[in-house]
Amino acid sequence: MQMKEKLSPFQASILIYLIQSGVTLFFLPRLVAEAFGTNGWIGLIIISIIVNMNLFLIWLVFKISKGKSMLEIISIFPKWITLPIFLFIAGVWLLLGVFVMVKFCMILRVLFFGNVSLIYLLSMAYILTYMLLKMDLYQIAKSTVVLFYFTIWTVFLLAFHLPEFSFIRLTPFIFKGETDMLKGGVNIFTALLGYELSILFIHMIERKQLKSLIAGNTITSIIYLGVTFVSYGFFSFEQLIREMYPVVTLLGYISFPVLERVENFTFSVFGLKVLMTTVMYLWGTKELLQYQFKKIKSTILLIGILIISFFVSFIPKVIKDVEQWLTYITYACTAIAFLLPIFLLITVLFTKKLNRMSANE
Amino acid sequence: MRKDRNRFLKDFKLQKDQIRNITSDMRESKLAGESILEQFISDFKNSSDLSVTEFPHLTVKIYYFSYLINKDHYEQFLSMLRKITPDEVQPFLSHSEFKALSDMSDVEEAILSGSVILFTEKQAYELPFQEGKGRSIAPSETETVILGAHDAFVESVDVNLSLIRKRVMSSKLKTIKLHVGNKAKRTVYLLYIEGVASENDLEEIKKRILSVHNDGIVDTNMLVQYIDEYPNSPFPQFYTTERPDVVAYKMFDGKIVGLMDNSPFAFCTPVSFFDFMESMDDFGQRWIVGTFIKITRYIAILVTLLFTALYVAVTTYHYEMIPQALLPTLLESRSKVPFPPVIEALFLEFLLELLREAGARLPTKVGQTIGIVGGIVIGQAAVQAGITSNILIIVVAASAIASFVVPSYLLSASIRIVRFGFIILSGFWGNLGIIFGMGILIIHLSSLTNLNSPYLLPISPMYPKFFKYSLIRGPFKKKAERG
Repeated sequence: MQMKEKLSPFQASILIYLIQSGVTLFFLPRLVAEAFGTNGWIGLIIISIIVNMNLFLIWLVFKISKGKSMLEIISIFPKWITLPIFLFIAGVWLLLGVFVMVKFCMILRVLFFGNVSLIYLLSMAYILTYMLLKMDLYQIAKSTVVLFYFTIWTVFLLAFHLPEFSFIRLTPFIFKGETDMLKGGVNIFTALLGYELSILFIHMIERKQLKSLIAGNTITSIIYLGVTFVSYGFFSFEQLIREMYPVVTLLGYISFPVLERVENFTFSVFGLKVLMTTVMYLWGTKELLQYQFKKIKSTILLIGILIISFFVSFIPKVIKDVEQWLTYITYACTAIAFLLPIFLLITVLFTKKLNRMSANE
Repeated sequence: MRKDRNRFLKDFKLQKDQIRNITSDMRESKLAGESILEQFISDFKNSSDLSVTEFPHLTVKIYYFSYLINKDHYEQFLSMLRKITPDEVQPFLSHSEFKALSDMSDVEEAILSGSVILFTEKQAYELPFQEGKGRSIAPSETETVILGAHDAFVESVDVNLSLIRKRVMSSKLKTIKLHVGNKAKRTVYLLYIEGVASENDLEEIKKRILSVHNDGIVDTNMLVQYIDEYPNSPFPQFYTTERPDVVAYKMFDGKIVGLMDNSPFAFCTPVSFFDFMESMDDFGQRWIVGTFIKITRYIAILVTLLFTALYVAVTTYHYEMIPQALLPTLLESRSKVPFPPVIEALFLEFLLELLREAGARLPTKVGQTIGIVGGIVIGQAAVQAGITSNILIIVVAASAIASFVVPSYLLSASIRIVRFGFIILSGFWGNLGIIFGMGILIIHLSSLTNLNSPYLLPISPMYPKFFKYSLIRGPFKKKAERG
């Protein structure tokens, strides 16, 4: 019964936002500063526009195929052709989902919970992941909306920094300093990754598909932009480049009359956002594998994916290893984000042409 | 009823001559009445409280439970019966007030619900002489309001139906009578307003109630646990209430209401989490005040859930979160306590639960003693003995008070249970444990449904236009918009 229910545009937007918003947020201002130099926050807007173009591409596939899902489009190929492609994509998505969580847990350990073993942190994450993944997408989206409300208030904490904000620190220069536009740009682009999963669920959105996807990306972009902008006015440019996790430093600045140094609490709340990223990437993996191996029961497949994920989590030993892994995986993921819709577009057009030819005969 | 009977007797006299012509061959045939009677006697054997009156010349036997019937009506009936001849029996009983029963299960239901059963050779008849004994209508003790009606349901389903009919004066109010149970059947009425309640929901709830074959369901609050979707969730899914005004309000809101005989509770469905946060008092207040109270309740839920857990987390792992001015007080208060905060908190919370339960079970007069004993034990003695800290007592008391702010007793009890989970988690992992618990709670709540309607509606899935009807208490003039 619930399978028939479709995602409302709002749910889709929130889903996109929470998939996108991940662990990169904590050091995004530094990444932006390294890539674009002074007033680098303007660069974020450009990157957000590129993401929107990619989303448009995904929507185009959906539109031209007249509402077919990705798996329906791809079903014209025999399974042995799709197997290596899907295995590759599923592998990349699984690794990305897992390492984003691993990275978050490692940062959490380094900064706040030094005594808690990584195995506990990851177990908690996988318990929540299992609880979400055993439901269908509509149910996941329902939980996502509540998680969104539970985490969105953290954005308003930025207001605490406004008294310290100074326009002088922004400097009158645009994109000056030691910049590495291309490599840095790609790095920042990876912070917005996650939207590409919409290719799997765009057909489940009730209406206003394109608008809701772009709205989701816009929410992420605005929050990223806000955080980066505030960081630029809060830290000096030099400071920003040297801060490992500028956003964590920002959080540390917040204090309430009854409680102060709440950053360990707020940082833990961010964990739920990171959780959604992991959950949705693993969901993508599950969908692809389920398509390939229809005979395997979905619960067994899910448990299999989670067991693999759990063990993969322990491959990297330190944060640097995870970062190394994540760099390569996000590059692969970026490639998938662009190439998959293009490949589907060609397939749809090709199928249409074939159909037309057979109809003419 | 008496008027009807007199009118009937008049008709009866007019038709007397015609009646005499009825042939006696009806008496000769092998009669169905006898077989029902035999079955009846075998079913009710060893029931020493079953009374029987026989009229051998009329070949009539009358069975009843003397304490279930109205004796005046019955005596009146008997005096009429004594006056008639054997030939007049059949026409006398053909009056619409006496219902002919052909099925044994109907006979059983009728006699148990207080009717008198009359067996002729041919047929069984139900004579509706029920006595409406029971508690009189009184204010509810579980759901008190300051502004609003004070009457509450009683155990008699007829009285309850009348309380609802008086509030929903419309022919569109429809009722469906169903039975649950296998051996001992219980009557359940489903009430809804035609055109407002969803037909699909109605079919679904009917199907679920009819699929219950268990005996021993004695109350509505038990019944709903047989028909809900998530029996293992700690959260109540059907809204049950003792108040007819709440029921009427919910019905206008498109909900289906269920009444069970001998239960003073009605259930409403489909409902969401936010229905449990509502009290009729909110509607009596100005909307700004009502909204403020509602928001206070949400804060109260958070306080109940998290306050003690936060204390445990902070005093176990995160001393840095306490402002410097507060730190000496807290340290001093904690310094005498020999246990880790989590043990201290669990101990005190458990003691409080004991007190609450004892207070609920004890008679009112003795109950006051519990309050005094509890106040001294929990208050001063525990601190002086060095078992708990002062601040924890404030924290525990605050969360207990907050838990009583929740209008629904069922939800309040669920939240108190969940709170223990949070305390234990925070004892293990501090703030992180609280967030983990929050994650589990959010995922669980958002996956719940009541009659296929999401539990967290209108937050998830989001319907902002319903916010003003359920999240807050919006102004009345806009309420008419709802369709």
